[in-house]
Amino acid sequence: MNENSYVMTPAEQTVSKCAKLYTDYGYRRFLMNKFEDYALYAENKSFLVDDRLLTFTDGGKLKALKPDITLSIVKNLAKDQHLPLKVFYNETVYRIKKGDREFGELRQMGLELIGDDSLYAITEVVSLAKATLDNISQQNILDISHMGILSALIDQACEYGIDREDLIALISQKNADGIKAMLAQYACPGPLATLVAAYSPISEMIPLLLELLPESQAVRELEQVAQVLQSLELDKNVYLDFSLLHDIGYYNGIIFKGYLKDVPVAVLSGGRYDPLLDRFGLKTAALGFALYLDYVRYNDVLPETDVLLLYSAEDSALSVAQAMRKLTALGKHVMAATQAPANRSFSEILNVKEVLA
Amino acid sequence: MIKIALPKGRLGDKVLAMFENAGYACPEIHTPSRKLVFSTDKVSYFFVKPSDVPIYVERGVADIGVAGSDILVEHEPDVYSLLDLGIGKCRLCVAAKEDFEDDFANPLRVATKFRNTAAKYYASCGRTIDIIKLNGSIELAPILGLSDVIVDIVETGTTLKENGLVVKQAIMPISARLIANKSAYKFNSAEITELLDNLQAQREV
Repeated sequence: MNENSYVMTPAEQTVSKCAKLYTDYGYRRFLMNKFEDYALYAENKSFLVDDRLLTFTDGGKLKALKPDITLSIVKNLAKDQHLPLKVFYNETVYRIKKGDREFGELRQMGLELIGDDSLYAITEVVSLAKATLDNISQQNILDISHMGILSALIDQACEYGIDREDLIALISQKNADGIKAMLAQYACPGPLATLVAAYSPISEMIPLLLELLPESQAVRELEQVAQVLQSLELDKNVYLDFSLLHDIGYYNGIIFKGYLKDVPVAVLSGGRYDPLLDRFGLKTAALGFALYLDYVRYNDVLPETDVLLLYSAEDSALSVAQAMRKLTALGKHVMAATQAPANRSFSEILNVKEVLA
Repeated sequence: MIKIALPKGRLGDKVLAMFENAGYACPEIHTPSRKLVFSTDKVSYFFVKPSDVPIYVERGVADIGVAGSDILVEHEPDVYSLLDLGIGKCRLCVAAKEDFEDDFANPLRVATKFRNTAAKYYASCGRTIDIIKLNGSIELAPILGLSDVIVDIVETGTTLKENGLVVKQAIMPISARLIANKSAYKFNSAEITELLDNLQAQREV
């Protein structure tokens, strides 16, 4: 294990590498307060992962500890418009993790690109998302989907009388047979079941998409994104998965999620969210993603200290300090103590006299 | 190797037979022992309480699992539901004493294991209810006057009949589903797809 991995946790290493990556691409660090007006979240509940909030009263105003960063960035932008905006952040958010009952502090890193609707902007954000995953582990997958494609097919199904929420549930479960049965029951045509069932690398799936949805602008956009990624050899482990959807009230275009091997949930999530800006009275494109750092963990046993330097009352403070200096100068990691702590292990245990001998 | 969580009990035995016939046999399972995990080079099986299967899958301890659609609808785990195995078929129903008639004058007292499903069903009917969450022997509730109706699984209907209860409404059909952890699916899509195809062939036999 190298020196950095000893001193910094995997999450800290990821933050360091990604901060450099984002800075290289012209993103600036965005620092923020820990709390916001409660109203911001009350008015945008569907955007949040979980709508339960930690609230408190501050001078008569109801505030909340932040469960999300993007809303604050967009709110600040609405007041003070300097576009295009390219920012990244590394913050703690406060929300209830799925399956838990209590609030937790969750570390989140992410970036936002607001005010650029070009194909290049989309490709930049997608490739930075992939590079973020690569910074953590090479065993990763980025899944891409498109709300333009999904919402058109869902809207079509609703015109035939299909319940929107029931259909969205089946899509999200990748329940192709269930979708097929539902479409058949309502005599609704369309390739939704085939699209949701499929799971292939992006370049392999584009021909199928062009065949199933030849008129779709969203498919053309995905085709162009795939071509750029392929030309730059950035398309390895990038897949299309149409069981991936986000809330249509906030996301209108390309969306994506990132996964790491042996981590059971998505560690990264993002996409194009113009409709959110529209809610703040801003008519411009917005792209971004968030990385959930709490899932970036040690895979191996935590590295332990090399040496325990045991000393007693007979050893002068100076001699202990001299022994520490001698050992650390040799590049060893040393803990000085009067007794061995029960919950730690060491490669060597030495006493002061033998070190200074 | 694919890690598979199977439900303990009758359904688990039927599902295991399907997997074995599909080419994923593990002879060790049929040898009496206290082992909890059984492995071959292709798969690793372990048996858990039926309602816990989705938890093992959602948390990624199992790559795939088999659970009844009643459990999936009730708990809504964030997993893929990739195949209806066509076994373990039954229905989720509202049942009550034969002479029970809802007068709509008071909240309907509903005894059930399926709190969320019952709440959603009655919300869709616009009926106010008082849910009594029980964990077993649900049929006792209307007999002893604890509830007006029950929402419970019905297979043959024999248990209901023997207790003087009848099905008042059928809520949904239930069957065993093959579920997958979303992340595990992505990193093992070829193996899982092959397994699905082999199981599908079994289902059609």
